[in-house]
Amino acid sequence: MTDKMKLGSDALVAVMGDEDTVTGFLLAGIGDMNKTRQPNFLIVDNKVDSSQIEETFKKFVARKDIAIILINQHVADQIRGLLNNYDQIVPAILEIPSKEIPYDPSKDYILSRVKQFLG
Amino acid sequence: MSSNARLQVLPSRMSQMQMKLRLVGAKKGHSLMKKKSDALTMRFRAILKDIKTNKEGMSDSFRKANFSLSDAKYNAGDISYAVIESAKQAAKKVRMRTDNVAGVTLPVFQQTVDETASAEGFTNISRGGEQIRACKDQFDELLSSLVQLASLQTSFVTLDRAIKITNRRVNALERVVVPKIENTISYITSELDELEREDFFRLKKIRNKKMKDNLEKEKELKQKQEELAAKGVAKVSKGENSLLGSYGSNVDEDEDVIV
Amino acid sequence: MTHGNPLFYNINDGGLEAQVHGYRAGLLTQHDYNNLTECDNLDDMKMHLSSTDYSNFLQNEPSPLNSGVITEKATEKLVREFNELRFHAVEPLSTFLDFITYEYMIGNVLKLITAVRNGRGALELMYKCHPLGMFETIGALTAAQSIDDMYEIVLADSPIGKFFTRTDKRDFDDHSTEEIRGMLYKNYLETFYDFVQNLGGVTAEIMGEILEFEADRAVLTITRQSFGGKTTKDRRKMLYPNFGELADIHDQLSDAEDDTYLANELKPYPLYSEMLRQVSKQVSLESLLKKRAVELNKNAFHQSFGYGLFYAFVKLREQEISNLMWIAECIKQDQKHRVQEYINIYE
Repeated sequence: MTDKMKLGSDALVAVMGDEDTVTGFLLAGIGDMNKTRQPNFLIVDNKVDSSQIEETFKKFVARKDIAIILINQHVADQIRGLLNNYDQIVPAILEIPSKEIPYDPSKDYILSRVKQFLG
Repeated sequence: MSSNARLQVLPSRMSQMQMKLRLVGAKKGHSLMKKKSDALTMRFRAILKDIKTNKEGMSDSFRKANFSLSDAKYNAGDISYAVIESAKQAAKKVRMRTDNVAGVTLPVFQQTVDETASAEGFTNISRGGEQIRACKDQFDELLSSLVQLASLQTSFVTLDRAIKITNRRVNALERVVVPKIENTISYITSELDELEREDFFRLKKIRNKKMKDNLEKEKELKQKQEELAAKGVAKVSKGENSLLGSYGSNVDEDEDVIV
Repeated sequence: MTHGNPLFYNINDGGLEAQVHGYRAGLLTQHDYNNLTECDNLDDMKMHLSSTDYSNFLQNEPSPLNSGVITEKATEKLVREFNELRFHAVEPLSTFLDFITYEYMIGNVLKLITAVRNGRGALELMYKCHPLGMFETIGALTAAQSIDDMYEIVLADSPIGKFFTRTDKRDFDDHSTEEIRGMLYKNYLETFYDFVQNLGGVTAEIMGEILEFEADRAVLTITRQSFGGKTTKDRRKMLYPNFGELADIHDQLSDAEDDTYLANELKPYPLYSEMLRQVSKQVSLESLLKKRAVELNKNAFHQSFGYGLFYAFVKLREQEISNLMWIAECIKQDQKHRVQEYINIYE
């Protein structure tokens, strides 16, 4: 964890999701363009396929200035395999609901691990 | 690991002492580790519950926030493009802090606000401003609770790992290290007992031989005395000296035979 | 001046006026709204809409539907209707109709300005532009590197170039996009107002009232939105359209920093002071202003021999599309308790 990110430094919250989800969180003020004009968000519409999602996810995970990744559940579904094998602590991946598709807690990769313990 | 596995040591009083100290240490370590594991597990369970309630409550907060966005769009038109295009520098970031539970470092996120960046963000002075502000407030609130949830999640993963490692150590102490030391101690004890018995046996044998020798010597002595009674007493003390010397070499030979 | 003379009006514009009356009759009725708000899902909505003027406009859309598709398809219908009117129109109605589209052009150009300001490719934004606000050279804007470029190459000769010339374009970089929007809109309203006043007759009367209200609406909105904000008094005043009922108190309004002050200044204007009084946590001033605009647009249909109803129809149809979006969002997001908050057009 410590080699991933210096303690006390400020890091970004990234978001991958439909236009409304991205708009909402950008309105809250998380949006960022770094020096190489790379945004910390990805709008997933029907023109974005799963390989693009995968690529962006890997890029976000590798960036040292991203601490949390918010991802719509229906987007997470498209890279489920990648998420199930994800074992880094930071960035933390949070599966979130979207406006169009209801949230299914049983699919959530953290929640399903949590459920194992609570029985 | 077989049940009578032991450490490679020379059975001696010295190593017996050392092993006994190691056993005390291992048992103390075991109880400390066990306590640590209990403390971690307690925190872990609390976090599990928190994650569960937070995640389950999340749908409602999202519904509220998403609907406030619909409200904003109803009044202001499609604001998405303007909001997305005006993203330059994050106003809301997170800072990493650490929390310590029983020696385990938990990463915790804390939200920070960059005032200058937030002043430069999306502003609206035409229609729908009221609803846009309400929507921003909703997503602000949502973001704060998600940052909290992210902290819980990292704690969950970190603790999960720490507990597994601790439990592995507890088990190792309980099932491997302690029995091994105990086996070693009983081995040393039995070896030392054996040595003692051999010593005893040897001493007994020596005593027997000595008694036999003494008897022979007495016989000889008697014979000589009888002869001397005829020749005189002058040489007796010298003969006794040489007999004592040969007794020493006999002991050495005996020992070789036994070992 | 032939405009406004019933004799000539019927020769040139009478047919189109009848057509607009026909379109207006096709607006959703209260009965339609009642049915729509009772729907449990968007497919139900689609079914109800198919029995209205919209008929089978969603025929080729796969389930599940979303509010975006409904809005998009409904807007296409509005654009079709409008283009038909525009195609048959002769001067001065054709210019009048063009004025209606300028508002949408301003919106589109601002989208592209935002993109250029942020160094993004403007191309992907084109598909988000409002179809009523398209003009021939708009595509060329996507190639521009700066706002000055945009102005020099394209905007100066575009239909909305005249709204830029009234502002000092060299100061673009000192203004936020929202301020540029405000200035363009101000110039648009002023030019449009001058135009309808020159037409005279019923058009000047009806459209005059509507545009004066729109000017006041802009003034009130800008004032309240910039309470405690960074928009200085001078800049605020610069965005106020120079006519309307509130024109006399623009100076005072540009000083307003809270609703108490505002209420005091609005005392001589019963319409607006009453609106401000009604504002509460549940009722926003904006929704009250919107209701008033709908009211004025409805009234435009009560008068013949004027162009007001052409403008009014576009605005009412637009409000109807917003309402469809609202109802669809309420249904989709399980917020049926707020579904009645749409702006009622025909009570």
